Amino acid sequence: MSEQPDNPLAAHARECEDCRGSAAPIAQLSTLLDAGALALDAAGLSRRVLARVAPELQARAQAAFWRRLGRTFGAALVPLPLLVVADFWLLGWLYDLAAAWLPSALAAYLVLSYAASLLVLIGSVYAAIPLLLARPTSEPDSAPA
Amino acid sequence: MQTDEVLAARLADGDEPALRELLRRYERPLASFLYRQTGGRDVEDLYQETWLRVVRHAERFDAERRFSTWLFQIAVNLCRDWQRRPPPEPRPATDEPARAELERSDAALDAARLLARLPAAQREVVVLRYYHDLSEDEVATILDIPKGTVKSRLHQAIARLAAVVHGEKRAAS
Repeated sequence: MSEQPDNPLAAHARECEDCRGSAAPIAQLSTLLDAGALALDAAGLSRRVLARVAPELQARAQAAFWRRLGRTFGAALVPLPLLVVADFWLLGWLYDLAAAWLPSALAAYLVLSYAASLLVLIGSVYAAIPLLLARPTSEPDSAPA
Repeated sequence: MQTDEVLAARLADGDEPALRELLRRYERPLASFLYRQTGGRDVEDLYQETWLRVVRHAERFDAERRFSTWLFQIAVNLCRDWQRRPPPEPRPATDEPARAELERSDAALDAARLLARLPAAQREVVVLRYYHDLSEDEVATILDIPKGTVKSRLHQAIARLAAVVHGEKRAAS
């Protein structure tokens, strides 16, 4: 860092009249400040941080999941009454149509089968919401900042 | 690539991969900052406490700001609290780092000893400005002081360091 033109000490000395005038040994200071590598096991420190904050992160993740689930279910429930009304109307219409051509018992069987399928489909969609929300998020890109 | 700020937002939801990535990006700069501020004492405690605060207050982080600035602000505040604590055992009156850390080299002067001669306020500026190459504006934001104060502290630090170097030279000759 000491020899680089953008060394902050040198930059300051260039701008500062006092430092220029006092001939402060900027290069020497920079060399001294750069001397001696720090004996740091930063990765080890980080591992211990992760171990320490893991329970807290887990609690936060749980809380965030329930918040998201509540919001999503809330949003998903909004169109449900409309869907139910529309389905009832559709089933009634289908029954009328089928009963015009088939015995009424058979028409009822067909419509009820269709209604059961619709029920399973709607139930599956709502049941999938927590599963989709519980999916792990993608790993962040590991390229340097 | 996700920015630090996006990762910090994910951290608020307890996203561990986001924390891993932030740790990877900042473990070296933060640890070396703490080391230089404290002379190598209690670095692990301060490092853990810094990240613990980041995790606990992640939802308060303003994504309009830079994460690095916020992180160093937390670290600076913790270092200031640490400096106010009474020393665990009697030490020389000077604000010197642990002897074991200092006596690792035959050289009369090294970076740790030079930095130890500076008052904490000047040392913060030198470490952030010199070692982390932050702009004067960023240093001012982190330390919550005007830019002019950053300049004047840097000036005073240079003058003090120059005096130390001259003094050691004279003593050696």
